Amino acid sequence: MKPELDCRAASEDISSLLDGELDRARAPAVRTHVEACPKCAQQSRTLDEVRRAVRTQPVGEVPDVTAAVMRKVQGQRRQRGPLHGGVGGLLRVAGVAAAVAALLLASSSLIGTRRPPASARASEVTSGVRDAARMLDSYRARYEIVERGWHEAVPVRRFDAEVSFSAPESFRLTIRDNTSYPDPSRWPSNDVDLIVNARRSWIREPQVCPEASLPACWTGATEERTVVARRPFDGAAGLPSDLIVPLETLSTSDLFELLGREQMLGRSALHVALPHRQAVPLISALQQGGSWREFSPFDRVDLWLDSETLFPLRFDVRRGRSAAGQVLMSARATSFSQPQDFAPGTFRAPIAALQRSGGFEQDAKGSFDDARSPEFTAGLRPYRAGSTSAGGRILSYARGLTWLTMAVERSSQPPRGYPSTAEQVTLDGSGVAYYEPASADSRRRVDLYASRTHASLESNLPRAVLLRVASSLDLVGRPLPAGIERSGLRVTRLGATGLRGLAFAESPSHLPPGYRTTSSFLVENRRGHRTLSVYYRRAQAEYDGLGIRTTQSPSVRFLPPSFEDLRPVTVDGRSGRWSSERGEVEWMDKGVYRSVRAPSLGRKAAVQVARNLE
Amino acid sequence: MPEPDPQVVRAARGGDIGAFESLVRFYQAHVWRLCFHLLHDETLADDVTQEALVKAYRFLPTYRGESKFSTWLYSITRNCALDELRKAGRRHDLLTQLGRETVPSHRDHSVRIEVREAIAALPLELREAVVLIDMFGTSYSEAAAILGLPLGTVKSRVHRARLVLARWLLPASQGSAGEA
Repeated sequence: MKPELDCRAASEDISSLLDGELDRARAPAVRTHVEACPKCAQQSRTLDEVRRAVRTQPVGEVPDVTAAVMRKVQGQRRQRGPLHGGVGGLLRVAGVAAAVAALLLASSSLIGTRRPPASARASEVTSGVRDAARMLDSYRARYEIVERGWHEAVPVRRFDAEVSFSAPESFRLTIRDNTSYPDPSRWPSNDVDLIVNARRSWIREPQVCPEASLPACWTGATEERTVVARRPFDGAAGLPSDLIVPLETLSTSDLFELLGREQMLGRSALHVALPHRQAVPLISALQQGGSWREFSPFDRVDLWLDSETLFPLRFDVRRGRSAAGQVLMSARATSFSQPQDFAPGTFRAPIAALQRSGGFEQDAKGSFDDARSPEFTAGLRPYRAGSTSAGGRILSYARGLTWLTMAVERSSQPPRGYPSTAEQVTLDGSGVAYYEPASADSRRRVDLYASRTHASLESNLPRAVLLRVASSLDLVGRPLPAGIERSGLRVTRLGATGLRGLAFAESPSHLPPGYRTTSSFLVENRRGHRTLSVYYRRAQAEYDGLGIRTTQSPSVRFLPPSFEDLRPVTVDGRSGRWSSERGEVEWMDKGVYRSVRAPSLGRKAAVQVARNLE
Repeated sequence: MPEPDPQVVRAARGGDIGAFESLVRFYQAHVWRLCFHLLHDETLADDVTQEALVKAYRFLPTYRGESKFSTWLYSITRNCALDELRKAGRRHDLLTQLGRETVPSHRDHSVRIEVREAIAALPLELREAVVLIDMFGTSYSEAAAILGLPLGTVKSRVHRARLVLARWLLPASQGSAGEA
């Protein structure tokens, strides 16, 4: 069929056609041309791919400016009231508003051009999981899991899993191993039970035995452990909540990619892909106990979310970064529901012989009117309050799967072993605090050291919101001492000026997206040897607990000997080495030892950061 | 684009400070993102976001509800950002900086950086069209209202923006087909 339009005329309309914005009268002719003309069809595919790439750009963290804006607004209001803005500005904006109205009227002839349902955007997934997590009261789902490559004698294992949740912190996870082992009496069945409620948590799993030593080391025993007097949301980072709504995995990430809408298990699903290093909270939710295969931070995870509820319908972990990699583990939901009630005893946690106390004594009637409680709790409701055996107070707040805890204790001494990775932040009106992103075993955390009081907040809320909660405390956080002496070493926390003052120190001119400087430490020993460490971390989560760290020292004269399997690399013409075990590149640069450690980023990215040092 | 409850807008117009605060909460992330994509500087984006929201408060009485509230707010935001660009003399055409090699398909995670950088490198007039339509999901007519441009101009700018992005982002065979 001969196309009726010429390519030039059709080309200009292809974008509008893809957006559903082309005039109804013209659309059929352009569509017919594109279908018949291979060149325009190719262009249409190309433009659509670009369009999707832009539309699925995830949203990074955005600062909360509400307090600052409201302060300015209140100031203006006091000065002149809301209606008396500057005349010039008023006229200009009034002009914009008039122009808006005129254009909308002028374009009313386009009302007939209906837009197709907007494709979901990454930002919608991010805000969607946050909303879904807040609103969820109960949940029950069953999964089938297939795992490959756990042990060379057992190439495939199959499991059934069931997860139940009742807000805010009752969980139950049951995993049953259906694998045909070579000799069932000699291999552990990977059955795992986990029950968590407001008072206790209990786990039963096969006794640990390193995979490499199986089946020889297997004694046939299972192990049960109970935590009593449990603190609110104690160990919540390890609870399987991302299996319910992948809140932590998706709401704080800038590394997932939305690939589109697909049918999955008979439902409309959003298909998302992300590296395993970002999906740790989801994948580890299934691996609460027992023995499971390991994944590389770079393995690819494909996740399908029910587009209505955002419950995970299926997720696959593939070897390597490619969509064509071998599937190493696959979990598919076979049913899910939001039950009104659970059978009695669903969340009853047995008391095992092996037990540990969380040291928490819950108030009979929670008192939240404490002067130390935060004024702003992000819409979370008071949940459990009580005291610790060390005399501290713990308050907790929750809504759906979202939670916040605050622990306050009296302390007259500044802490000695404060994590060097914590970032010093200035709070709006509450002084200085120390922030840490989520890691594999804790959620985002803020510490304030006020006069004789230490307050620490932990939550699965995003960073900006958590900092706002911290700002609303009636405490003024003070900076920790810049330098401390520890076992003959002097450790000094450095700011930007301090860093610039070190002649041997170099900083990367460019970092992978999302990373920024969070803390710098200079360590000096008695002989005057100096080593500088600088941490670069993302705002919300570093599941490897580190992010990126540079280490530089003019006191180290040559690369220390090592028995690791090292790979040679070059950094700006200088020969160096890469340790895959540590995820670290090291080299000597004109008499200065330098290294970049980035365990979850891989060799190429680490070497790139190294080359950007200047 | 999300729209607030009209009652909240009415209350804010009537001077209800709490209602205005909820509008700020509702929109601040969108306003910030628009500022960031226009300015490419996080600190400037913070400042201009505040400025735009404070201006919105001052000029709320001029909002008569003829357009969507988001359209009105984004035009204010864009004006503030353009003022900032003029002030700082930042209105560079970054096109020439991009002697970019072809990169693999965007399914590769590393390419996400490329998409972001490529958008940043578009000339402002193409960038704002593609940001509003593809990132903010506005219709062509809403984008035209925000940008103060005829609809046809928006249509051709978003198309041109995608052609340039295709050349930078997609493998040579595909990208060059886009130039046909």
